[in-house]
Amino acid sequence: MKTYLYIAKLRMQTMLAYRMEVLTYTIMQALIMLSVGFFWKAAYGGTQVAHGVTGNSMITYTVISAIMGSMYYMGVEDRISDAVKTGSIATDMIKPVNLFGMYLAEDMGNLVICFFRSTLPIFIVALAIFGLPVPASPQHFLLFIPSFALGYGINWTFSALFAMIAFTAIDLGPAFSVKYHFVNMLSGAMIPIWFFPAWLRTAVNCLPFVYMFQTPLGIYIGKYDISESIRALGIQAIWLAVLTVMVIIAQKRIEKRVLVQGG
Amino acid sequence: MPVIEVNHLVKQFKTVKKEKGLKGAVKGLFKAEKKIVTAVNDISFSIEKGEIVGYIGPNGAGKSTTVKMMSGILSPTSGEILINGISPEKDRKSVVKQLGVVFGQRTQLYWDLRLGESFELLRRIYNVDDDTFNRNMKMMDDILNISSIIDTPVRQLSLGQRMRGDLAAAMLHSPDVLFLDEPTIGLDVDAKHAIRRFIKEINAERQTTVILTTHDLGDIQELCKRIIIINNGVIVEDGSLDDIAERIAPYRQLIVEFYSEHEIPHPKAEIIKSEGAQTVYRFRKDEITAAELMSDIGKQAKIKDIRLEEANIDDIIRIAYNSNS
Amino acid sequence: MKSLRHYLSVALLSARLSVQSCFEYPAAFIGWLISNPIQFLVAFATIRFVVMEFNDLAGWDYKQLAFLYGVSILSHGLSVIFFSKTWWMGYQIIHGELDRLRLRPMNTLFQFLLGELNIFGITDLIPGIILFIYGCCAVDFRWTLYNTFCMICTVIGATFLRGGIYLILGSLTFWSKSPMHISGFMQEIFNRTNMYPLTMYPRVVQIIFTFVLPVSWVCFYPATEFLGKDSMITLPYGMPFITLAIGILLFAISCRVFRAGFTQYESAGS
Repeated sequence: MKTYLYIAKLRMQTMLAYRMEVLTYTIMQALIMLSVGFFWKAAYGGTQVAHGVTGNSMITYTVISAIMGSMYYMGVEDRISDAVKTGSIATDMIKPVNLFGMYLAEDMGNLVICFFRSTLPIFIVALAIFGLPVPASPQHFLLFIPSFALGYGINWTFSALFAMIAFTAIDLGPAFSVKYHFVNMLSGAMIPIWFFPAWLRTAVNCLPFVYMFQTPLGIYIGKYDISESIRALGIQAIWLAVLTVMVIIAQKRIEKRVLVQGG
Repeated sequence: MPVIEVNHLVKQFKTVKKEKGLKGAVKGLFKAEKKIVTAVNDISFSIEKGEIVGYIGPNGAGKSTTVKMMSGILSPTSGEILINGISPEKDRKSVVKQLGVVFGQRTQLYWDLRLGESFELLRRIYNVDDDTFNRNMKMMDDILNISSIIDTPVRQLSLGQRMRGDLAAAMLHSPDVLFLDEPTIGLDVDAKHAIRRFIKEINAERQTTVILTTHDLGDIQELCKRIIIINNGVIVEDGSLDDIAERIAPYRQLIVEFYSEHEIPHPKAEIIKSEGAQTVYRFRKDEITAAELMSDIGKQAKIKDIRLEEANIDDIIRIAYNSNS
Repeated sequence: MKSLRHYLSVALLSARLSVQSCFEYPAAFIGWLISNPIQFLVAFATIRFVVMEFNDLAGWDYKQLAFLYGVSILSHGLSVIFFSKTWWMGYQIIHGELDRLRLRPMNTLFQFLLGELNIFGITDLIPGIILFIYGCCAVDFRWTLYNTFCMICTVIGATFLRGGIYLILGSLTFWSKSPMHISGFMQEIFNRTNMYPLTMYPRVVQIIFTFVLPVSWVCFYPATEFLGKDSMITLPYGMPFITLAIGILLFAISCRVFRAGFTQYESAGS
């Protein structure tokens, strides 16, 4: 455990080194949040309720989505693609720590840093412009916490899996870009899936993306009642389990490949 | 009129100081300390047409910085550079038309394209007419065997091939002056030989002035009639290799082998090594001749064999490097 | 005149070579050709789904928003081809990779911008053109001589406006000595101020992006004129010309900044 704590600390140190980037990234996140918030204000206009959600709830949705997004920093993606590109994956695998344990420890380090450098500033900006993003009820807030953690897990395992699959592709830049935009759209991070046409909604519900963002967000604003929320948590847990198993399988396959080809 | 004149040249850089550890990283987030480093500190020299000058010094001495200022890449902090009477800072375009510049560490060729395409582009950039272009290409082909690699994408060339391509590219517009920054770095013996031959030939045939920086003392021995040694941004020596050796290391070594073990001291020579029947004496040429020393020693013990060695170029350079640090 | 022909011949050959080197990486090209349209499609779908629900966004209906977005993305595609190298010039400045520009007897900025075009930008330009045509058809844009002229002014002005700001931001690394990755940030601002009607933002935001950082001129203001929409500024005509003027002015400023920056260039790394 101490090893992993140290890895997390090292990671925090390197993250802090990118001074300017840190600042501009956070400002960018905050600006996107504001833009989307005003977008909802303008869209609702005189309308009170759409799909059972008020305009104010949609702004809360947007703020919490930005806060979650600022904490979902998936360093594992870069780490795996770098390791594959430079060939260091072979040496990494013989290190006496679990590779994915190491990456997860690093991302926990990232999470702490992100909380201070992005989440807090974004929260303060949101507070100043849109006011406090209040949850639907204390029960909803309590259910939101585990749902958020599960959402993080789904996002993390999916990122790891995607990086491992994508490295067989020749150019990673476009692949990651496609993934980013798909997740952005299909997870409900930007607009909730309930605005989608019915056929698309049905398809999207069969994919893991909505469980990264929309499920915790829907719980937070009270789109789902308590029993619906608990069921959603269950589905999230199933997705996390499925993705974890897939990551393990993919890792075994890569290990075999590295051993055979020598990296 | 000299081809190159450098007067009281100074170059300073600002660098950001980074602190170690998590604490340093947090501190760097708010305030970064700046430090001024003087890379070139008041240097002056002038170079005549047709000279081949070795510009040498230890790593970080300011060699590349000087070359980059002379070729117009960097602006001097103060001081003046004139290439054929023109300052690269004031009229960069006129100056660079007369220059060929090659950096051993970084190619100026287009990475993804065939070598020939880089030449074609350069020919347009420098407005080289067909006759000159063909004549130059032919000469480059004769010396560097360019035609064997001209259709290969630059990224697929070996280091030696790429250097040949870079040299040819630098000569396409028939420059008067050639700056070569570590042209033989990382090359094998054959490639080094080809590049030295190239430098000699263009110098002989076209009177091209060549300034080269290098860490390879073979380059210097073979090519340079004059060397300028720079250390910590200051010129410490300027002259022919022989003159410099005469001044800073006027020693020779006499290696004497006796029939049996002896240790015979001499007032004008120093014994630096004595092993078995062999003794190494070091002496100054202006104090005693080799013949005198040999006969003095020979009077005391019977000599079987002798060998005379000049000061080693490695030693000379090392002494020069250390003289100002 | 002779020098103009010289520059033109180098620019044309450079463009041809840029295309050739781009085709050295067909997989990457195809990858971006798939990925970039998806990005616009996603942004576009967002607008469509929401506006279909609420009928309009700050008084702009779906077709008008499609037109706005189409014009914006067209100039984005053009700016990627001609100016995207400014996005990573910070890295090049730090690692001393701009030496070559100084060694050739031609204008430094000319070589920098036109020496190596980003042909990959075609993967942005193609969806840009498609969206542009779609948007123009959606609002039934009248291609009269005058309107066509105004549209050309808008697109050229918008491309220079984007490029000028990118170049100024990129050149800041000459002084800061550490690369600043603010291009993504800037792209986001361009997008956010031209994808939605600017009038949906609070007044102070509108003032900033109109007068302080004039990014809304990229296509929001010209579009208000083309479509007869209200905005903070009401002019009977002339918005496209203001866009062109701002674009050229910003580009001229960026040239100065770039040139001044080069005196600080350190060519580190070897």
